[in-house]
Amino acid sequence: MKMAGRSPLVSQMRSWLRSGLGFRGQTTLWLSLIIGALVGLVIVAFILLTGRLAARMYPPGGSPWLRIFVPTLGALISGLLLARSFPDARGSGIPQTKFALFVGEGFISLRTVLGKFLCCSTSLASGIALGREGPSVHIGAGIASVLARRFNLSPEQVKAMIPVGCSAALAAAFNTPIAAVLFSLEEILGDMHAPVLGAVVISSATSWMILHLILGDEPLFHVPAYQLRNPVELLIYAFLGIVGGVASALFVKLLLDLRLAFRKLPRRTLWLQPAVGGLFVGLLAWFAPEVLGVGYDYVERVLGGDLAIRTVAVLALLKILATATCYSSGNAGGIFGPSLFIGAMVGGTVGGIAHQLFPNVTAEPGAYALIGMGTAFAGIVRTPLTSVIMIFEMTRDYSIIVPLMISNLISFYISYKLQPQPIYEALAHQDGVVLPEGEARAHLSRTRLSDIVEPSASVDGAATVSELHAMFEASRHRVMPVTLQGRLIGLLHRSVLAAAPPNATAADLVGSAAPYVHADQPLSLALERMGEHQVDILPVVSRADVTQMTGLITLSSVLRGYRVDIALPDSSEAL
Amino acid sequence: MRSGLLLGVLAIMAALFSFDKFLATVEHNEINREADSLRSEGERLLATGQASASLVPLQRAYALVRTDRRSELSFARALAAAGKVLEADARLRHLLEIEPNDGAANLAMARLQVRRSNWSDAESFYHRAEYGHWKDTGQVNQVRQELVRFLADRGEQKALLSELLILEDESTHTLETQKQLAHLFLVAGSPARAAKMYRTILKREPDDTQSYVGLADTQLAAGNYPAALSSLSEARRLRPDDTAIVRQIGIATRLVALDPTPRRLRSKQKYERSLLVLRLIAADLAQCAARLPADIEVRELLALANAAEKSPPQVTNEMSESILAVAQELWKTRSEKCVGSKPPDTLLSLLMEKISQ
Repeated sequence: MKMAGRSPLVSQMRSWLRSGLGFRGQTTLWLSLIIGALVGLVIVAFILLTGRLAARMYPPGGSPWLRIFVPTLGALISGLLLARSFPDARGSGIPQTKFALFVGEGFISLRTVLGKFLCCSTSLASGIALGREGPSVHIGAGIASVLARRFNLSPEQVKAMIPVGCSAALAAAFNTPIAAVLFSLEEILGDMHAPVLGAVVISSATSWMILHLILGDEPLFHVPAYQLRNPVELLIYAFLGIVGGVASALFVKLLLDLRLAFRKLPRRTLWLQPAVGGLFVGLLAWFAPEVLGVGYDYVERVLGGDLAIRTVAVLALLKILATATCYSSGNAGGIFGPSLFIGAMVGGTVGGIAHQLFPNVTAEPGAYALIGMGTAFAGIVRTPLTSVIMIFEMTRDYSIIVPLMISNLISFYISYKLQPQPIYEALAHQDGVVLPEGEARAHLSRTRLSDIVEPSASVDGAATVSELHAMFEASRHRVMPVTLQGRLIGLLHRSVLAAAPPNATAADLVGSAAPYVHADQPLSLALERMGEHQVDILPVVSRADVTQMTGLITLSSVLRGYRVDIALPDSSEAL
Repeated sequence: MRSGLLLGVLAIMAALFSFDKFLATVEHNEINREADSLRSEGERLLATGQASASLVPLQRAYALVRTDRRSELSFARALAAAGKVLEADARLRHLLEIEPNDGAANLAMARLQVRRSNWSDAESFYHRAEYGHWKDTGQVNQVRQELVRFLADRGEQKALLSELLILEDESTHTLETQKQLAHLFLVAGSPARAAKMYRTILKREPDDTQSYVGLADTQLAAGNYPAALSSLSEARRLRPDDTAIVRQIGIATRLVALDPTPRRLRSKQKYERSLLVLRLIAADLAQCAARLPADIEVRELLALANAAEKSPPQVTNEMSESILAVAQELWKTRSEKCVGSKPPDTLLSLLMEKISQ
């Protein structure tokens, strides 16, 4: 009787809960929805908190001293927190997210998520010239990682949930659900055909709905209707693409160089370094308060054509300096928002000058500021497709697409030529992490070396020439990996051994630049490397540490991976 | 284990939702308060004629709450007052896209079109404002009065008359608005209605000099010159030192003496008056023609007027009618040819209007 009185929905829910939310596919679907909703709620709280706190820090008519004191103090507090309690919460969050995805098996700790929220709220509210979108992506990815682990998903599934969290975060932070999906695929995964596409879309849509439920249908920027006055304008947009590309490359180079300089400072000053960025932005803000914080208010004013050209040009320059210094000094915050600010100011300047010179054929400067936002995003973040869709979603105006594409692609090309390495890869490199490049990532969905990798085996660096002769005689391979105290130091060629002095050790005989592969790379890459270096064995190393050997790839194992049945010496014979 | 975890996550989500809602409400209220304060400040500056200074707070108020139509309207008004006509136009069009029947936005747009000399658009927006949504019905009356003034300035007599008829039906009119209405009826080409209103006023206020003068104007327009003279005499009795009234009396007296249309006139009198009217008009046309390039039509008409002056052995009413027909022809030519020159004499205008009827 009791059962008969229970609603079918409740019964079904209980059944799902008892069975652990059904089978695996269903779990992913439910988890995507949960991640989307939870990330959306957290990011909305993050936006509201940072916005409100910043408004209270700088009340209208407040003392100009506040503009120096508050960012310095804020950076000092967040610097202490970052150095003592949350070291992984430093910076933007995009490289850290990619690190977690490609190196850390999708692991982001709850502590990092909380630290990111706390440190970014502190620094952004105090007026540090960084953005909230990058940290949001890290927070979103972190929440996805934590939830996936708590739901006992496999490591592969945990990794798959990272882009799901990223897209949910970006959809809420920018109010651009399609661009969020594209960004997760284009930048985070580097694969537009990733199998997680469905889950990424679901989480993005869920998060966007949460945003609308709480904050309503307010776009990030209110922009006047776009209009292409004359086809000649496309030439000016192309010129804007060039200027945007140069400005983007300058910004990236400055940021990377400054970051290198800060990294050279003694480690004990790590807690103090963010305060340098805070003080610098405070000093700039004494003269130009517009550089403080994310600065979206001023972006909107430029879009509305309410700022003078000279002011707009100066702000572009000051924001480049302020953001580069704040980021490189180790403050918590991203570069998405500042990219849009810089782009809007560069676009506003180009548009303002063009409108003064050719008033009859050009639109208002606001239209150029809008396109400029896309050019800077494409030039700095290097996601041209995401930037086009993002600006399109912000304006909801189809007529903007063509000039936007022209400017973005030119900016992307110019920036690529001036600074070939994308900013996030360059930042990871500075941290000693080798993230997979776009071309390599395209092969990730196919057969990877991890499928054929053999157990690690190597020659000790202390082995003598006579011992090495014996080893090579027992092997038909041309080379052997050499390790010293458990770390890979290079490859030893059979040909080198023939001319070696009798008292030399293996460590003395290895070449300086040894080829290696990573487990997530495709088979074809291993073959190419073997051919390029004329070797038949390649060490497999960790992306986090290229001296840490995790396995071995032999020519025969690669051929077996391709199902080629040819008798070749295997690894056991080799070593 | 998973069920407990899921319930925990759902609980966290519920708590976060409440927290977000709380934060959003706090932000919403704070922003609205700030926007209201800025809008009040901007409207105060605008009301005191500081249009440029009002732009900053009004723009900020609008930027804070984009959905607040009051802020956008005030901002648009400030833009218009500061001479930024195109921007004001764009803002008002945006407002009217959202709510096409917004009375205040339509009125602001009508005023903007007047500034831009887009008369037909202005009239159209005035009408939309008149029939648009208003919180206070008293504002509709003000809009109608503004529209009436606009139509009177533009000389749109038919449209003006239809608006005046609606205004006349309003139950509450002060003495002043009644006099304005009566005057506007005269402008709208309805002297009978104007006269009726003045008489109603004079019944209530028999010593109102202005109403006597107004009544005289309606009587002059209707061609009832003796009655006009009588009304003006009453006005002069009440205000003997008023030179304008004296001048009007002079005109009315001359009109009484010149008018060739009364039935009581004998043929000779009618002929003499007709001839006098013809001379006056011919002189007026000759004066105007002297400033114009030689015109054959004018020359022929003036010759015709000269020929009509030759007195016949016996005058008849038909002859007077012929002279008046020539006078009308001259008057018509004068109206066409002397558009840019001096305006026609009031006396002749009134007289010819009556003759043409």
